[in-house]
Amino acid sequence: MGVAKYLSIAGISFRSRAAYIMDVIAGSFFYVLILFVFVQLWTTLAGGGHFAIEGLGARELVWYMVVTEGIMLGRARIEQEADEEVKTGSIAYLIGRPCHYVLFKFAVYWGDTLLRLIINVAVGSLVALIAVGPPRFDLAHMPQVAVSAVLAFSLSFFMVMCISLAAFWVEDTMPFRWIYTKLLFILGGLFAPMEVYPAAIARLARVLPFSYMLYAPARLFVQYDTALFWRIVVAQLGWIAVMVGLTFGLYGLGVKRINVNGG
Amino acid sequence: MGVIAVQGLGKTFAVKQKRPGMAGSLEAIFSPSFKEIEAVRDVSFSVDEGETVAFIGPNGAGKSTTIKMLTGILHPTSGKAAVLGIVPWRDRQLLSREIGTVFGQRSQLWYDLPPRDTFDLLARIYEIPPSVCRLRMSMLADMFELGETMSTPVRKLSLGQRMRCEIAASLLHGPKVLFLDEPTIGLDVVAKRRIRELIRAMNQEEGVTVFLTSHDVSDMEELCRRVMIINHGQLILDTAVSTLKRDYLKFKIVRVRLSDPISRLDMHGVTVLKHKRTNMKMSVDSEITSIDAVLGELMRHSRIEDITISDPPTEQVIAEIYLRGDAGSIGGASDGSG
Repeated sequence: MGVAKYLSIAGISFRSRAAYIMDVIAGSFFYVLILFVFVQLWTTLAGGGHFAIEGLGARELVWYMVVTEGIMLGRARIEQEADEEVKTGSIAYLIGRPCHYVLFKFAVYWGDTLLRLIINVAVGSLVALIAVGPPRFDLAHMPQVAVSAVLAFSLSFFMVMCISLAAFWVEDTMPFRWIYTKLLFILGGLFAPMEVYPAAIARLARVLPFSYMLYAPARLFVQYDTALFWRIVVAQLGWIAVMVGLTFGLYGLGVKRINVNGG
Repeated sequence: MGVIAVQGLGKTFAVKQKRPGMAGSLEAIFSPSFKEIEAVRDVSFSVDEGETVAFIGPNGAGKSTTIKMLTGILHPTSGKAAVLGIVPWRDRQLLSREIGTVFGQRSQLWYDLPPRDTFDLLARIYEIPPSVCRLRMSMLADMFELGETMSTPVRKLSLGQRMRCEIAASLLHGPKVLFLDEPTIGLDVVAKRRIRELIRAMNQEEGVTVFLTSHDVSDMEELCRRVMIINHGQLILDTAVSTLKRDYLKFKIVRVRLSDPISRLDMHGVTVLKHKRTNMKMSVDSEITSIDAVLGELMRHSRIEDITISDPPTEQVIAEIYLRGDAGSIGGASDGSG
């Protein structure tokens, strides 16, 4: 029964987002634009036919980008909302229910993300198919990639939630969110896989959580490796455990400090 | 023991102070200073099962802070409280199954979806068995005349329709106590009356204890039998509504727009508060002069084009309480119970 209520929350979040499906579709224009730019970049570099990074050619790099940008633009933007709820005190109206605030937001996040993801998968795949053709991908590995992607989205949620909950103590979390996004761009491997990074930065990226949100599922999709899959899943689960602990800890401390503005 | 028992409840907020300008911003970062604001101070009262209690006061008096402590949202700085024997801030989730809450300025309904979706979701959240939920939803839809409203996206509903849905949604799980924070705020006269009727009906038919905050004296007058008045965080009066009406609400505020200007109005029991050519605002002591008599006098000079009769604002009632030296006369509500 406990899980059922959170599934219902995810369901209503999905339906609520679906009320604005045209906005979501229009929003994917930016996704297409980014993909177009990188299709040009990678296919131009591969013009001689000898271009490859660690076995990743233009086709793989374009499909890599489909996954990383698909995740980056597909995840629900809960940070602004959660930040506002904490700052304005409207969180107060969500906590007086027999469900946990963090899990409520997690369910809302997944419901919203799912719709964006479906649209991004469709749009991104279409662009990549037209530009570079189908990926060299064994469908048998799809479940593993899906597991890694689900863990990546979940890790992303808890990272963002931690930053939003900081609003209990600081007046504006916007600077933290800005830094977080830029770190995700660079150390997450948004535009290119870790293999193109200098060795020292790649090593640093592997011990931090950012690459497990973007690089990990994308790398498994374009170049699957079972040993790598297990390493990634263990790292993802480890980081999720850390961030879950931190999120619930921050929430537990913060909820006692609620200062409801406006009486 | 009452359904709600409060003793010495207090809440102090530490509000960060910041001077204007860049220097002030830097100072706030490196050397923040805080000002303590005592929103609620040593409040004690008890509410019995089935009572309808109004907790009124002007903006910033501490009424919403009190209701938020009683629903477990805020932790008090001092004092004790129990709702249905549960300490709200300690067992908030346990309490949430027994109480309903409506916050007039916030919504629990999903804005882009019909209310029915929110009702279905609440049924899941409160783990109401489907058969019970169907009966309950149908009863509430009939009573609150929700009909087509239930299938219309919330963003397309009027404020009155939305508020009816908000209250019905908060009653879905059959709460024993209903906390309403400014339930009629922003509503027109007709919608206000309908909301009050529905709250009264729920109290009478289901025995739900109603605790409502408002800065609108009419909410208390039309809905409740007992009233508590809070000002500057302190409970200044706890009495029966009938007593309050007899002692403090004998004044009515009358606003008229006349077709022709009149120079003055001299009547015993009538104080002209504002007068500008054809517009006049006056306070009428209905024990001395009836409204009829005042209107009759006005119509002897001019035709009345528009008229509004209202209760005095809460601030005026409070001023009157202080003036009569009654502030702090709490505990005399026994005749208003039930």
